[in-house]
This record gives sequence, C-alpha cells and structure tokens, in this order.
Amino acid sequence: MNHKKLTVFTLAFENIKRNRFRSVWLVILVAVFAFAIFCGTVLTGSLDNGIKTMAGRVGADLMVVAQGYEVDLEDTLLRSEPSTFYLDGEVLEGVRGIAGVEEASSQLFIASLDADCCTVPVQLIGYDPESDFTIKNWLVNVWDGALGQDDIVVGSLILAEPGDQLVFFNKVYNVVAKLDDTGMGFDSSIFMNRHAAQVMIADSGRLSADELKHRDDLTSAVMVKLSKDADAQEVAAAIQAEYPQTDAVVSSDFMRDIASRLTDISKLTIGITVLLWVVAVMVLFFVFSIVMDSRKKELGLLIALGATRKKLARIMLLESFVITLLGAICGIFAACLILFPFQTLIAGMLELPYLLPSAQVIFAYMMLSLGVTVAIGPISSLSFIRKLSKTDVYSLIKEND
Amino acid sequence: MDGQKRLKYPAGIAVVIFGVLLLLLLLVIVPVCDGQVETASGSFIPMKCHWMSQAVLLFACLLILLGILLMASAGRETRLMLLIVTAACAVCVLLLVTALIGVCGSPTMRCNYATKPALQVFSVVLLVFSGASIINVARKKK
Amino acid sequence: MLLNVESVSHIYNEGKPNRCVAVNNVSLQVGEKDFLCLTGKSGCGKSTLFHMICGLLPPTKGKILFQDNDIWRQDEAQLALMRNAQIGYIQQGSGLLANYTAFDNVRLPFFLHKREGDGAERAAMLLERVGLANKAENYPAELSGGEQKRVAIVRALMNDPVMLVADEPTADIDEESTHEVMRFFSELAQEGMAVLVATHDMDILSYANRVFKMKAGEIGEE
Repeated sequence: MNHKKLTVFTLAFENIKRNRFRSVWLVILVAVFAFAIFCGTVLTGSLDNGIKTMAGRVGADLMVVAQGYEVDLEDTLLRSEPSTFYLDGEVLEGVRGIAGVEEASSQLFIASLDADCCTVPVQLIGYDPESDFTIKNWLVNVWDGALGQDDIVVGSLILAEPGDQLVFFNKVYNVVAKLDDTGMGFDSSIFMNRHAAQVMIADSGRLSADELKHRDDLTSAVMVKLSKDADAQEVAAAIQAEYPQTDAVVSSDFMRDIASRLTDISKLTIGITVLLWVVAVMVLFFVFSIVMDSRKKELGLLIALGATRKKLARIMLLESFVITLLGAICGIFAACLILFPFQTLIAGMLELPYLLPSAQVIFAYMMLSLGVTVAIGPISSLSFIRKLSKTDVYSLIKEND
Repeated sequence: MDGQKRLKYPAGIAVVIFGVLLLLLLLVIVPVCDGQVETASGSFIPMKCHWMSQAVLLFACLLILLGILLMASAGRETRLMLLIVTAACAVCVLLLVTALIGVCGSPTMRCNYATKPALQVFSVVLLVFSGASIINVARKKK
Repeated sequence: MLLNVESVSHIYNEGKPNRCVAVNNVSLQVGEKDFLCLTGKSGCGKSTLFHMICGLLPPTKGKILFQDNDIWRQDEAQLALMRNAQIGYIQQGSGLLANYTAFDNVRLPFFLHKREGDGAERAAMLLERVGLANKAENYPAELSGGEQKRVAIVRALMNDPVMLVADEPTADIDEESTHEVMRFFSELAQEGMAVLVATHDMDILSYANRVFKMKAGEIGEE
C-alpha cells in the first residue's frame, strides 16, 4: 500500500473534496459576491472618472448657441447624438468685442454624416484651429502645420489612425490626428477645418436656400473663454442683450447642472456599492461562521485526539482560504468577461459619461476585491477557532450527540 | 448503472443549452448589423459581419447536435471525442469572430461593440466548460 | 501508580440556579495492567470523570496525577500531546471523522504531532488485528456500527498509549461484537496497558479485574 502522508494540506483538501456540495456552494457564493463588488466598484469608478473628465472637457466658460438649442448642445457634447443647428455667423465677431471676453472660437456641428468608415451617424464638428482652445486639449499627437482643407482629426472611437485616409462625399481626407478617450460625444466625432466643413455641408445639398446665403460663416456655437476677472453671468447677459436671438450658456452652470444630476446618480451608485461591500462582507462572514459552527463536533474530535488548536486553526484556515480564493478568482474572472469586452456597450446603454479608469486603478480595484473576499473565509474561521479555545472540548463533543 | 446515467446527462444538456444560447445571441440578443454596403459596381451586399454570423450559426446548430449525441452516448471514449469536438467548436467560433472573418471595423458599430465581445465571452466560457468536462471524463476510470 | 485521582469534583453551572454536581469528591488509583470497569446509570458522572482524566474538562476541585504529573497544571500544548500520545480515548458514539477513510482515521493521531514516518505500517497492523484490513479504504459511512467502533478503538491505540479510556464502548453494538471488544481489551490489559471502561452493561463486568459502581457523582467501594 502506498499512502500519502497526512498533512495539513491533505486533511484540508480531503475535507473540501468529501463535502463537495458544501464546498461548491461556498465557492459559488464567494464568486457571486466577488463578481458583484468588483463590477460595482469598476462601474462606480468609471462613472466618477467620466464625470471628472467631463468637467474639464468643455474648456469654454461660455457657449453661445441659437435660442432654444441648449438641449441639442447637450446631446452633442454628452451623448454623441448627432445634431445640426445654426447660428448667425456675425455673432462671433460681435462676441469678441464684448468686454470680459478673452477668446472666442466658433464651431459648426453637422449631424448624420455618412462615411465609409461608419454606418452609424457620426457627428462632424467644424472648428477653427487658429482660435480653438477646446479641441486641442484632447489631441494625443501633435502634427506639423495647420489643419488644411483636406485634413481631419478623429475621435477615439473612429476607426482610423493618423496617416490614414477617409472618403466623405467622394473627397479624400487625411487623418492627421486623433483625440484621447473622452467618454463623451467627442469619441465618435470627426473634426475638420470649419471652412472645409462649410464647403462640405453646402455641397451635400442639405441646406435650405436661406442657410446657403450664409454658408461662409455658418456657425453652430461660439465657444467663449473669459478673461480672469470677468463674471460669467454678466458677460452672458451682455451677449444676450446684444444678440437676443441667442442663448449664452454659462458652461460652469451648464456643466454644474449636468454634473449635479450625474453626481446624484454617482452618489447613488457609490452608496449602492458601499452597501454591497458591507453586505458581502457580513454575509460571507456569517456563512463561514455557520459552516464552522456545524462542524463543532468534528473540531472537538480532533482536539480530543490531541490536535493543538494551532494545528486545527491551520487546517481550517487552509480549507477556507482555498474555497474563498477559488470563488474570488472565478467571480472576478467572470466580471472581467463582462466589464472589459462590453465596455462600449455598457457606456452606450448607460447614456452617462462612462470612462474606465486607468489600468493601474482597475488593478487596484481588482486586488482590493480579491483581497477582501479571499480574506473573509480565513478570518471568519480563525475568529471561530479563537472563540472555541474558550469553551471546553467536552461541550463540543457532547453538543451534537 | 444509475450512477452512469447521472454522469451522462448534465454535460449533454449543457452543450445543448450552449448551442441554443449561441442561436439566441446571434438572432435575438446581440445580432450583427443589418446594413448593406455599396460595391464599386453599385450593387448592395451585406457587410462581413453578416457572413460571420452565418458561419457561427452553423456552429450553433452543430453544438445542439453534439449535445444530443452526448446525451445519447455512454461510452467513455465516445464522450471524450464529442467533448473534444465541442472544444474545437469553441475555438472555431473564437477564430471566426476575431481572425477568419471578423466583424466590421468601426468600434461604433453594433457588431463590433456588442456581437463580437458576446461571442468572444461565449467561446471562452464554452472552452473552459468543455476543457473541464474533458478532464472530468478522462480522469474517470472505466 | 500510573493514575491517581485525588478527591476530584466537577460542578456544572457553578453559581447559577441550575447548578449540578456531576462528580463529587472521587478518589481512584489505577496501575499498569489494571482492567477497571466503572458502572452506574446514565448521568451518574462516569463521562464527566473520564473527560477530566483525559484532559478534556478541568475539575472544579481536587487534582489528577498521571505518571506523577498534575495534568491540569500543564499548558495547552503539553495537554494536547498527553491526549495524543499517552491516553487513548474512545468516546461515546462512533467518533470517527466522516471525511477520512478508516485507514486515515486510524493514522490521524500519528500526524497531529511531529513524528518520523507515515504510520502506515502500524495502522495496517492495527486494522488487521481487529479484522478490518479489507475495509481500510472505506469511509465511516460505509462501515457498520460495530466496525466503526473497532476503527475508533484502534485509532485510540495508534500512538501506543499507556492508558486506554473507553466511554460506553459497547453501547451501540450487538452482543457478539461486545464480547469481541471486551476480549480485545483484556488482551491489551494483559500486555500491560491500563484499561478504563465505563458501562452500564452488567454482562461485561466479568472481563474486568476491578469494578466500581458510581451513583450520583460518588464512587462506591470496589
């Protein structure tokens, strides 16, 4: 007969193997909680990250749009729902002349542009590279020279890299730059020189005769940067007084308004996540305690046979560690299978700024979820054994008789 | 005898469920894009994700068949072979989605952000499942 | 003297309304080769006395000397080692660990403290001695009550103890097995081991060379 030595390992594994039903359910339970807390934490982190990124993203203090188009602006900036709206072009020069305005740059939004790269609508944004102060912050690469008539910049979700060429309306454009991930509408937008955009839109035959007359200074929004000591509300009032047909949106208000709505959601998700953690820790702790409690007699027997409590603790620690480790790895693996391949889908479904945190942050979340779920089993078993030390072995053996 | 019966059904049922799930994924849950592209000659043809979907549908039917065969077979070697074919199906689906045919290029398209990850996750899970079943069957003594 | 119990008492729930004197001022001497039977009704304090002797339950009063050591003045590790190596304790009921085979159950005491080797030879020999060599790889659930008892008995002998303490070893087995077990205990006593058996079965008293009767926590004359 060839027999393995009986060690702490073989005893623990034998316990797990012989109680397959109990072990499997414990592993599943741990996996479910590891899955939930890791998913919850990553989702919350991504929303938080998305909102933070958005706050710094617009880069303009004021945005001037045609009266009543504030909602369309929000759609374009936040949700990548392409929209088209126009503003009288002379507003730009007028705004520049108003006291307190340091810089102003116009942008032209054109919706539903069909391109061979994409079957879904793309937002085309024409901007003025010389006066721009909002788009350039997001450029991941720098290229020589200005944005020519044939050059375009693409958002992070557009399938093209600098150096590629894209065809719109039978005209070839060179991709010269790409934007960083913004988690917002910019990701599926294409940016081009405003004049090139004007030409394109005019040629596409989508403009009314009236709009065509203004084709040279067709504008959707004017982005305004204020001088340091200017008051946003006052300047906005001044612009609206000068141009009654416009809405001057104070972007801190605009953003604060959106951000406060988002923050409410974010607070809710953080709250739910915290609750989830507390519930997970408590449930796992109690379940492991109950399992240990049901094994009192087994523990008492080992003590009667001369096992020291240290030895007992080692067997139980190893046993619960193996179970929680297995469960936590399964749960987090499953979470990764959902969170990362489907991130675009999740972001789209949430209709909220959703931006995965950096790899380091995600790794930290993962280690935290793994650490906590793996630790609960052993900690709970250990605390049970400690409690056990204070009771007489006699009562343990007696208990379940 | 009773024990053998208990061993034989779960894997087969699971494989049938995998097959039905794959059908549902492709037809109902995350279908590929339904748009068509215009060729140089002016005719409209489906995009490549459509062809990928057709190919994977065949594998879904194959999986259902494999599951039924697994339920019907008791021999250890037969079951082993059927499970190996199941694992091969998982690899084929993965390859069809990523390398052999693939989906449309743009990350903004449904086949790219929904169908592709769904099928990738599906094949990984199926691969893990069939791998575990193969080990399970192989380990059992005759 | 191998074991010297000096005026030992145990009181459960001391200071509470449900206070209960289980063992009252008991003194007892046991030497090598003694085969001692303790009889009495259930609840007369036999098990409590045995638990104190085996180092599982501290006495409320009095002391227990084992090989001239006061066992309740040892620390936990020494007490564990004593239970493991010197006293073989067979508790009421089966007392086997359901997760391990009969063979591993028998070997288990060998591994609870640091020892050389794997104990396989001795465990196999012990199982052979009680006629269970062919059941070595069976789990307790696959053994009959008598077989389980025999496994528990040889497990108590695994580390070659100097004293064997058996609490109702024949309570749940048939008559034939009962006599087999008692004959086995006599053999062990003849080989030099001190054997203490608690029982309420009057038929088996004839195997012992000393018999005590316990009543309401007090021990009677020999």
